[in-house]
Amino acid sequence: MSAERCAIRMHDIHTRFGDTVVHRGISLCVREGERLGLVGGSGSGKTTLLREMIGLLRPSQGRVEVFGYDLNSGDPGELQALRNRYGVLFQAGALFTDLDVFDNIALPLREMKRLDESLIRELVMLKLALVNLDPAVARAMPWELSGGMVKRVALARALSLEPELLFLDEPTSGLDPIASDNFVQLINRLHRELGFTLVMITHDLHTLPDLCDRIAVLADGGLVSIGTLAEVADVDHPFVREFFHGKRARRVLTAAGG
Amino acid sequence: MDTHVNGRSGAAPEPPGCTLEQGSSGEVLRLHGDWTLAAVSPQIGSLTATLEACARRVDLTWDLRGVAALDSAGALLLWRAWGRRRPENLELGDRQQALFAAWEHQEDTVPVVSRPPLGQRLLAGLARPGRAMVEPTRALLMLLGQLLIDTVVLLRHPGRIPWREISATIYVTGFKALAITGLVGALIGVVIAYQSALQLRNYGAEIFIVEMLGFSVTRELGPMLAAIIVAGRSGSAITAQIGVMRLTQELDAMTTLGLSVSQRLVMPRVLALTLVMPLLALWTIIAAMIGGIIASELTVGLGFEYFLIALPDRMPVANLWIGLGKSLVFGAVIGLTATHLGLRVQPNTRDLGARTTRSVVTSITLVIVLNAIFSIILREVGFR
Repeated sequence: MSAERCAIRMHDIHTRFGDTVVHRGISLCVREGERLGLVGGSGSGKTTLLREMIGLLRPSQGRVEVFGYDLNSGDPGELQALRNRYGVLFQAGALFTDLDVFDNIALPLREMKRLDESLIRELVMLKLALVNLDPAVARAMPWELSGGMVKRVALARALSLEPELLFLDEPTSGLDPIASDNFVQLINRLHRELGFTLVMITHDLHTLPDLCDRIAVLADGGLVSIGTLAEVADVDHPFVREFFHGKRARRVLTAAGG
Repeated sequence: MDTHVNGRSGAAPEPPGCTLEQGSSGEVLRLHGDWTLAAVSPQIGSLTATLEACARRVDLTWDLRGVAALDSAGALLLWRAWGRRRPENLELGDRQQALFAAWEHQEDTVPVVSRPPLGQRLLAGLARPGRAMVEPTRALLMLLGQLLIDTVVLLRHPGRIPWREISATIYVTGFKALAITGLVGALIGVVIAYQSALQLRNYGAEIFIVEMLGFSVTRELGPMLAAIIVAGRSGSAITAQIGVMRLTQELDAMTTLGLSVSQRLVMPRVLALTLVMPLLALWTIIAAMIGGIIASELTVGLGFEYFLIALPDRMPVANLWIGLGKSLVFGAVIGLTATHLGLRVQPNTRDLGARTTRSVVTSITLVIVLNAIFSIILREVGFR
């Protein structure tokens, strides 16, 4: 077995909220440059695991390393430097309602305090073009945008610091099938061009084969399996059977040619 | 080793740099290190100057193949130094091509803010205060009308009265406010009694402290203090709660499910506040009297026994009814203001904050204005 280069390494993660145990000993490695999907029933702790990777939540026990730094031991300055190296696309976009599209994308760049406005303007407009949005959208306010546009603006903001690691929380939720397909293609194109590591939560069986190199299945507080779609689907576990071999799943996956 | 565009591993970025070398066909500028946003931003000024100086030399060959990592920010820096076109002699790695191609297709556009012409804006500015008054007033009248209709409907079908909501609101706005209104009331009582005692003693008129404390607290201060605290505590909470329900589309959900927003949300809150206010006012009056009597005992030696005998004798009970009656109105006004503004929250976070603030400011102002009006109307009532 060759040594894996991990963008994120989680070691023996336990998470408890009061008496509720969410994770009991999860260890996994997100390889550099790969697209990893987190799958699991509702309440299986996918979102919690993602928040622990981002550093928004501290596990009750265990170690999370991102690019080799221990998230929960570093000093605040180092953690901030690390945060600048990843982008997060939240489920509902989380655009700042006070700011228009342009300022939303420009905000992380302005916060660096080193770039002049003309440079920021060009970078922002490039990001808008990157996510296939018209330059005219730049001065729209978040509440004037459709769901698909909000996602794309949020993606542009997540990309504004040129992240090496991108987290997506249900990237296609709330999008119609066509918008969802377009968004998947967009993410794949950006992944090819920019070469970031991608970690995402998804429920959407349609997008799994297209969007993920590997899939991690969470159930019963543990990691059931991690591997390619074919490898994961072979595991004998009630959730896996239900999720990958149910009637609906078979219909979707055969249609996708998987 | 495989290098993708962002080929940096766990280590800190390698600072970007360039060296001038003598190649086979003229001079070559070799770029090395990380040319990424994080790496170039600390020394962006000096890098820009260096690149621009180099770009002026037309014969120079640019070799970017030694660059460890390049992203669109690094590419933009080069692109601008080059004057937005590729130099004559340029050596690029495969993956770097795409980044410069992206800049080639990108025009330096300025996002325009469309503003109506000056005249139109001036007119709109003049019309705004008028509209700002008319629209909310209309909406408030409609809410009042709706409440009236709801009252009739609920009286016909008493089974539909939202008892649970009413009692929950009474608990939160009333019972939970007992501590704070009691404390504030007692302290205000102490302050008034103390200040009056000091002045009255100068004229040897200490015994009039009973009237000073009794009238001011019962008629004016008790009801008003309670109303101001409730407006700040519960008015803001109600506006924010209903506002968030607008944000999360709960209001839309209620309407779709055939539940009347005014019956389920507005009515119980207005009703509960109207019921709670007189009780809280009474409680505040009692607390203020106790605080005042303690202070008067300590300063001029007139204690509980004296007040118990003198107060019923010298202050007609009508004053208490006036105080409690005013509170009833204050409660209704606070409830109406809070729910009205909550329903009008636009679905964005800024408006939520603004409306919540306005809810408190408006209800406190209304309470003070109404109190003044009551004082004038009732100036003949309740005195001996």
